[in-house]
Amino acid sequence: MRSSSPVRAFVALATFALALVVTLAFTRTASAYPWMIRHGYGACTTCHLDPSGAGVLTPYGRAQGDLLLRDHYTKNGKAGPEEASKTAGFLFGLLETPDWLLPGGSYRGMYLYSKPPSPAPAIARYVQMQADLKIGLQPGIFRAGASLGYAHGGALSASITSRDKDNLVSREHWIGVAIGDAVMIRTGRLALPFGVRTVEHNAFVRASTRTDLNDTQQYGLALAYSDTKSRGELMAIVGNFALHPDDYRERGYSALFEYFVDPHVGIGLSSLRTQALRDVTTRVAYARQAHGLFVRASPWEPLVLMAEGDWLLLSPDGAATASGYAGLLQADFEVRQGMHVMVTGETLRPAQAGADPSFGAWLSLTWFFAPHFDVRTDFIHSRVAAGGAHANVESVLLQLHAFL
Amino acid sequence: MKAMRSLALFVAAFVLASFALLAIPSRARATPNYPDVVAGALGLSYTPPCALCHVGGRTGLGTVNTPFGKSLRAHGGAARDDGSIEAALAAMEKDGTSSLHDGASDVAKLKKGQDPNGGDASALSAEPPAYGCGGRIAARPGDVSGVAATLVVVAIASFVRVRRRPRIVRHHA
Repeated sequence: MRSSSPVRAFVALATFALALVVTLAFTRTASAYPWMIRHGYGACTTCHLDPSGAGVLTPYGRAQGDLLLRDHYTKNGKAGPEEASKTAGFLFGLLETPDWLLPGGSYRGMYLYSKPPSPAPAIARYVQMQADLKIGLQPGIFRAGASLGYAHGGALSASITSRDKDNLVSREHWIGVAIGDAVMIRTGRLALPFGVRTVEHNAFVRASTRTDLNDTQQYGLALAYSDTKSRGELMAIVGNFALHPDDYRERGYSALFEYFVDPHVGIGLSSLRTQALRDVTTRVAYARQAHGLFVRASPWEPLVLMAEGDWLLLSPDGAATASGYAGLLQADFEVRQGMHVMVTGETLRPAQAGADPSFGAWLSLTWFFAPHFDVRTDFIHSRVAAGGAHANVESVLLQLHAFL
Repeated sequence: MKAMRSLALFVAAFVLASFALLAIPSRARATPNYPDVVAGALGLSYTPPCALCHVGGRTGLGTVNTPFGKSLRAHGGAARDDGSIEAALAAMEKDGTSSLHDGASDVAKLKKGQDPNGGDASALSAEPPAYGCGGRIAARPGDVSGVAATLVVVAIASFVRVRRRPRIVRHHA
């Protein structure tokens, strides 16, 4: 405890307890900002316990988040503070934890308005995306990470409880061993190493490859490598044990490798192949593959360009293999520190015979307006392939994200 | 120091208040579970898969395009309207709709556990997927990709040379 004062200790503990209860009482996605490559942070291990990014922050990650991520409201382009604020710590610095203990928590709520073509009714609703508590451990060579949260709806593939809604969810839980500074081997429920690990879990590239941070994690054994010139992870997948019976579970592998041509330019390859005896939606046996390329580049510090292209293959039992593709192109422009304007274009042609491509265009504004807080607005125009024709769908998202 | 503590307490209180406020409207209606609606309306002993109506099992706008799905839409079945789906199924049962035009009605086929789209009947009535803890892992003959990947991970890990990474230089904005 940082203070010897019993009153302050009590306030800190009471605040933590209240935060714990409130977070668990109310909840789909974790945080990862691949555009941090603008600061030369291509590798993820500098700031995250997870070697492929997202999840709990290291003390260094918290400090960089405070120094580089949020708006410091400086004028005339002046640089922000040289040292991270004490509020960068867990619970805004109220509870000081040893370096081997990495507590955290995230809440992400969103108001969604979506207007499909008439006569379908417009959708306007609040979506509780994430209300998770997280913990990371890194004593000596030992590593472990876990999350526990509440989901009002969705995130079934990460649920611990078995209700149609209002479930306890654990998106990740794993243990591992660090071998030196560059290598980690771990086992448990892990996010699949594939492509650019973005927070936009419904982006075509993430949804079509089932490699998002929401609830498509799987159990397996993974080996990760990370140094200043490259990073990579290979995961042997044994299935999602939150999904049963076992026929629906996928076996296979997922892997990525990214090489840093320069601290601000990374070029990567991803590959995934899984198979299951039954598909969740068609209930027939299948094998699926996704293989792709991705690039992250910051030619000028305020600007980061990210691109991902994936080739999709689906081989359902008794039918010919169908191929498709998914693509993402995103430009993140940091207007001033903490304030981002993002323009995204995406396309998807599902691995399905006769499928037509769909397209999406996003204009997003994100503002890291205070320590541990950011707000985001997305305006999305989608042109969705629908039965030989295309339908236009307009959506507006308003998000608030807070982390402990 | 006192100001910092006050700021931290204020922000913490703001976080908690925001959590509480944002949680209030979270009792929004979830996306309807259409397979359960179909099973309930027709008194099926099983829950049909999404692929009954959605091509390739992919749900979402414009994907209700299987022969049965098209017939359901032609009879007035609409998204986010369970009543319209129940009414459409009743109408299809009454007029004996056969989406494949093979003389056997779609509803009769579903009640016999057959796929009105002409697909694999065992897939139609297979145990539906369930979520949460409590599953068991079964061995699968011939399923080698996961095993192979595991062996590769272990093999690589066994030969990893322990080395130190260069010291990280802290960046400033």
